[in-house]
Amino acid sequence: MHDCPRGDIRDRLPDLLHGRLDANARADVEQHVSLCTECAAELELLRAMRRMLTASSAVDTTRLAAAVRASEARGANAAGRTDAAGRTSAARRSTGARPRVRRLDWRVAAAAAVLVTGGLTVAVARRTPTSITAGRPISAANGGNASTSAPGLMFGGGVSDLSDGDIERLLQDVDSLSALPDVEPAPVLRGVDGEEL
Amino acid sequence: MTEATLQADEPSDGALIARWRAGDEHAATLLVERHALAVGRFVASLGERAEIDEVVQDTFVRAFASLDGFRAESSLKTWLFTIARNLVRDRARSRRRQRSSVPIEDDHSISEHDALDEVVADETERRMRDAMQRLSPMQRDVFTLRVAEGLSYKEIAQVLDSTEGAARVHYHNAMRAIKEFLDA
Repeated sequence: MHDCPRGDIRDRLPDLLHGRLDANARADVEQHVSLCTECAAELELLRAMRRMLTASSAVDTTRLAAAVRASEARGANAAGRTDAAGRTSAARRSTGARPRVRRLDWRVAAAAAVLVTGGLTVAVARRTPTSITAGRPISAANGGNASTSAPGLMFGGGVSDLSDGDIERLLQDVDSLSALPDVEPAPVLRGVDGEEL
Repeated sequence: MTEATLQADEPSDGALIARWRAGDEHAATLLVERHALAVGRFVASLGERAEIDEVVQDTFVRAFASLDGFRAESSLKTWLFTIARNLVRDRARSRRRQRSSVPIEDDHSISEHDALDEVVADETERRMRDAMQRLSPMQRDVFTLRVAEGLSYKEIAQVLDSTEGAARVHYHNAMRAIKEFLDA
């Protein structure tokens, strides 16, 4: 089967087949096809191909229409339940408006959650001492014997809880601290048997 | 039935869409009945054999759910075909993922279908089917939309996310390939 050189006519053969040409174009194409054996053969082939392609579908349109209707009804019902304005699904469609799906409720819940969480955080923070808390007091004045010393340098409670006298004593304790020992440590010599010489 | 072949007393797609938007549920039924077969044929031509009904149904459900976004510059049929093609592509992707773990099922259904075709179809039809099978997927899609559904090149380009010129080239290449196969 050879191709007709009139590409513009061959291009419009499917349109002729489907009745999509206006009257003038249709007359032109039909006239050409009546004189051209190649185009007539191609049109016949297109008819056969169309028959073959359109015969192979197995779609139950009645069942489909019912299923789509049911799906649409379910969608409309769901939207209808959430429309606070009380409009019908048809009314919504006519205005092109989309249903608002409880967005307001969600926002209120989120805001409430933020408030509750924030409030709890503040309450817990106020109850918790803001200073660093040590397990036991550190005495700096008497060489570090915590168990026998009077309350010395304490981390616990706020500084504002101290009286003026406490603060003065605390500062004196800090002044008396020395980073280095006052005397050189004496060497310890041990004999072969491990005894101190 | 295409828009071009509507009888004078039949409402256009645009009129039916307007009626549906106004609350006329029957308009949706008319739209389904008008276009379901064409969508089904197109779905079949894309290689979806087993679940054509389901894909067509999903196409309409999705179309009606987003009809507000439908732009009137393309025909409803073109828009439906675009949705159907995307659905078929999604299903094919999902099937490929499943096949990597369960590698048996699909070939079975295809061979059953082919066997049925052998019995039912006459020789000419069988040869035309064979000719279609030898086309590239793009050529097959373009040829089906042009010949079976009568879409213009512009509409085909919209459905296949291509260009008008490319659609024209694919159509003529497909036509040449089919002729060569049938003449051989």
